[in-house]
Amino acid sequence: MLKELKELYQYRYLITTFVIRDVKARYRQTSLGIGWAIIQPLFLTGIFTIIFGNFLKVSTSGIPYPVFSFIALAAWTFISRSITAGSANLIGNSTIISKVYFPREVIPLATVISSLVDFGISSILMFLLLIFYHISFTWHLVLIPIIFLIQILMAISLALFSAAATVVFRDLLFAIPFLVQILMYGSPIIYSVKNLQRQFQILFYFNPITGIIEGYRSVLLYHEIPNLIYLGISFGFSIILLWTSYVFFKRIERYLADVV
Amino acid sequence: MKKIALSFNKVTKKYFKGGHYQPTLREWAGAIFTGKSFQRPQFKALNQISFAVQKGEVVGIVGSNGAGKSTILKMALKITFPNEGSVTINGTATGLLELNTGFHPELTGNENVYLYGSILGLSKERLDLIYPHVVKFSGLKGFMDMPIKHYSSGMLARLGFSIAIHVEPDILLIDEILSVGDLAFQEKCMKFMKNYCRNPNHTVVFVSHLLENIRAICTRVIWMEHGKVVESGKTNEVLKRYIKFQRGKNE
Repeated sequence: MLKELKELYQYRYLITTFVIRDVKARYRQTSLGIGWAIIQPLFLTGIFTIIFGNFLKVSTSGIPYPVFSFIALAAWTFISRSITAGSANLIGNSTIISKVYFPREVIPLATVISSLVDFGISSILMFLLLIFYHISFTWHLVLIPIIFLIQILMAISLALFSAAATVVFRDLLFAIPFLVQILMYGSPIIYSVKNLQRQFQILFYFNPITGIIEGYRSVLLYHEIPNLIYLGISFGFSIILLWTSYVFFKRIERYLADVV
Repeated sequence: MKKIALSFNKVTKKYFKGGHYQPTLREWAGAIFTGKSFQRPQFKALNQISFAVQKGEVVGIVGSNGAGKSTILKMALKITFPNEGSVTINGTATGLLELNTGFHPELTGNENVYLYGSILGLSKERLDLIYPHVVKFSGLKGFMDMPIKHYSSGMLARLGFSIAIHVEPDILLIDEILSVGDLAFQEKCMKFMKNYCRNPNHTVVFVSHLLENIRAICTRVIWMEHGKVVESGKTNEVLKRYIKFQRGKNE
């Protein structure tokens, strides 16, 4: 394990290059370029605001619906992209994998980091939205790094897991985007756990993404300490999944070049 | 005692015929109900193969198509692993299996040198250092800012070869790549290889069907057929019998 991590560190420049390649290749030759990273979440938020904020009047405890949903969408997009891109990227890089050696976990890791670029842009937009809606900043902001760390851990473990699992069951290449879409409705993005009945709130103990999304909302919008049960579940889930996925990933790595 | 750079010990590698294939749901269900696992036809790309390459040696590998030459290189590069037996590698190994594999078509020549170099495990500092040499050797000075999707195949070959040789690994593995590029570049490559092989720290394993290239640089040749070593020994002697064998197949 230590040996593998040391090797991974040696290949840090490769991770950087993969990330730059990912980001550049994603937005090069499009007229809007990096603008896509701004437009996508804003449009989605706009649609959510019209349908769930205005038509259906989802309760937000007094927070303007655009910020309420944008904050959740930003975190959700980052995690869901890590799952779907993680699943597709090992197979998408098959030509390199079957011809050159490098620690293969570089690919899912780079995927997560390149999604971070979009998350960074979303965070700036988020900041502007908070100012626009006159939502004040309190000392609770210092809790953000903790939530962010859990979010990163979760994204990496999910990317590793979906990458390895997709190699074993190729069907997941199609199943994962579909499952992710379902998971979106099962996560508190268009609604908040806070405003659900007690018996429904318990259901969200089974969704580790809840802790992260509601965590950000608590800290930035409601100025309170996040629900530690949800956050603890997110953390515990990420640590356990990170370990198991890494072992799983290392096992399939040995025959990866033969099957991709 | 000379140091061993690369050794294969009773290595067997099996592949499924028709490539890897995913059992369908029906086969899974069938296997569960009948208790039998699904059998798929396999073949042995390498069959209990053993050999060693000393440090500083320049070894050529010849053999018919499908003899297992490329599988050997892939194992030496840690791309794939044996089903049985073991492979020992002392030092770093870099290979040229196909020239443009690490390249990304949307990126420029310059960016691709850094991409490919980093795939081969080089640091940014090291790449900054070798970059001018790579450009000079490839002769692509005016084209480094162009996306490589506009390169010709010969230009790609030049760039790939130039990067790989400047990595200076302990073991350099080359598979059939010198045949691309124009005559002038080929001769430049062979001249470079001859010089490169003279250094006692450079171990080279060279797979090719161009026997004159093998003759030019290899001190020893391993002849393989059907995943086994037929003969290993002095270049000229092995090649003589190998040529006779190949001609015999056409009669």
